[in-house]
Amino acid sequence: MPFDDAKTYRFNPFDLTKVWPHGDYPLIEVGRMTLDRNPTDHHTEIEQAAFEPNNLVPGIGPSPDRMLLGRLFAYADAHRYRIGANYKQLPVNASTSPVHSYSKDGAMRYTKVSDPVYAPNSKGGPRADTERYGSPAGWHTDGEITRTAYTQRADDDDWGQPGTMVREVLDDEARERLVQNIVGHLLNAVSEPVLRRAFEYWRNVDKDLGDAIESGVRAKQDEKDPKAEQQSNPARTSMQRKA
Amino acid sequence: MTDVQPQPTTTDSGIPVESDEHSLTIGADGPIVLQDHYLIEQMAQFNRERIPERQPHAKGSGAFGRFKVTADVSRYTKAAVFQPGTDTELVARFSTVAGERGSPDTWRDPRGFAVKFYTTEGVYDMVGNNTPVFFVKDPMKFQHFIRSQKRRADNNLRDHDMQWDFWTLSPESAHQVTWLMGDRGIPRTWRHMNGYSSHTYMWVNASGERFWVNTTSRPTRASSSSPRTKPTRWPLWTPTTTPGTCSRRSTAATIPVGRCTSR
Ligand code: HEM
Repeated sequence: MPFDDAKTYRFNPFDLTKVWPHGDYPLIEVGRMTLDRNPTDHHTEIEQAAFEPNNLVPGIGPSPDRMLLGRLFAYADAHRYRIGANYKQLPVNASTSPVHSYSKDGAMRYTKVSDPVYAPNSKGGPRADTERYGSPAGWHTDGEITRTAYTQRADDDDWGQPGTMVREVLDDEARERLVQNIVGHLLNAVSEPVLRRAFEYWRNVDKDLGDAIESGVRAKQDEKDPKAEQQSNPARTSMQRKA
Repeated sequence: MTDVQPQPTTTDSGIPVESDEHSLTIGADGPIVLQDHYLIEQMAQFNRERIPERQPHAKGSGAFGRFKVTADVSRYTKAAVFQPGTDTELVARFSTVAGERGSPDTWRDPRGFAVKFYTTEGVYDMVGNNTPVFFVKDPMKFQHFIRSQKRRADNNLRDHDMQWDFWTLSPESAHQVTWLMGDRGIPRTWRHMNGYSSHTYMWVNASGERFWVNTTSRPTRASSSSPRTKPTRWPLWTPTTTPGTCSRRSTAATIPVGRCTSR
């Protein structure tokens, strides 16, 4: 999406609950990912892997999506707690391009720090290349400091896109599976006031969908084990008999 | 194999040990002595094997591979990792969201899709899901959302009442719950999932022009899930089916990533 389109697009393009229709912004091929090697030690290679959305390289930056901005803090914080302050030294997390940072010490530090340990310095320590990397990927913003929802735009309602998906993307069979999945889920000890809100929620997405869900739930609600048919297996059946 | 001489067992300091099986005692039938530091090392290291699991996305598995740029998107980004022909090593991890580290893979849940690229300009992480949208749109609600999907305080059970209570009071969840309750909610294997940035990111090209970008990756084979047209027999407790599948098959897996929307 061209930068300036975002200001006037019919819904907030940074709202994480929306998709951009491919008709407006088609996909462009970039490349191909191939996975061809399994870990040999799940703990060191996968469990201690620290993925963090704040790891963005020059040429890629964030957007005004609040969820993304929140995540830029949350992950590295989780890693310092879950793995430890020097988690970026572990081979799976370490950069393969040279690291010249001013972080030092901390539990289990093992890559060696050298002087000078501060910047600016006149002792030959690393110096930010502002000429080359000096402009953060950002945008202009101003406004009062508030605690409110995003500014509403014409197509910013919550029900429109799921409604379109149900009516225009799903075929009859997929729609029927959707109804069955929701009915099954709701038959699992959901209390009456919440059930009523759920029927309304789905009617807001699509009237027929909501009606089908309500009648599906009402038809089986009083059965002792309404999902027995879908879920029958020996363990469940014997549990039901004991109950 | 029997004629291969095994290496002698050592302590963590590399000192050869006397026995793999017997602790140090005063007489064969007597008490253990405190100086058996090898026994103590065994017990102490064992007690420290576990680290806290990820709060969400605790259950997952991954594999290593590479990303090869097959097109020219340099007019949208100067990122070294996306310049024509660039080939970058990576690690990918796929996960469920609400379950604990030992939970079944068959739970209805979005799936995480995280990729770490070891680029020439530092580590680039793409931390997305197999759905293009999410349940909430303000980070203030994320923690509450995840708690509503995990376990109750009283009986430590998951609870659909709690899930629907949160969803129906949060109308912004409707789009993602529609994805979740549809076929995408239970992908067949890690190999059959799309991966989305979900968020919009900014790309900047070499002349400083900016673009808003969503990324999508699609398996070379069509994505597929476990549609429940007929009654499906899920065991009550399913051990790690999808990671097993991933491990067996990832050798041949070829997943094109990052067909990006931008214009
Ligand atoms: C405000 C919103 C969010 C917060 C605060 C948040 C927080 C977290 C935290 C703390 C972890 C555990 C990290 C770790 O211990 O390694 C995590 C994992 C993860 N999250 Fe989020 N999350 C948010 C939204 C999202 C969204 C929208 C997506 C997808 C688009 C996402 C995808 C993932 C994935 C894939 C992982 C697992 C990464 C891995 O495989 O290690 N999260 N999240």
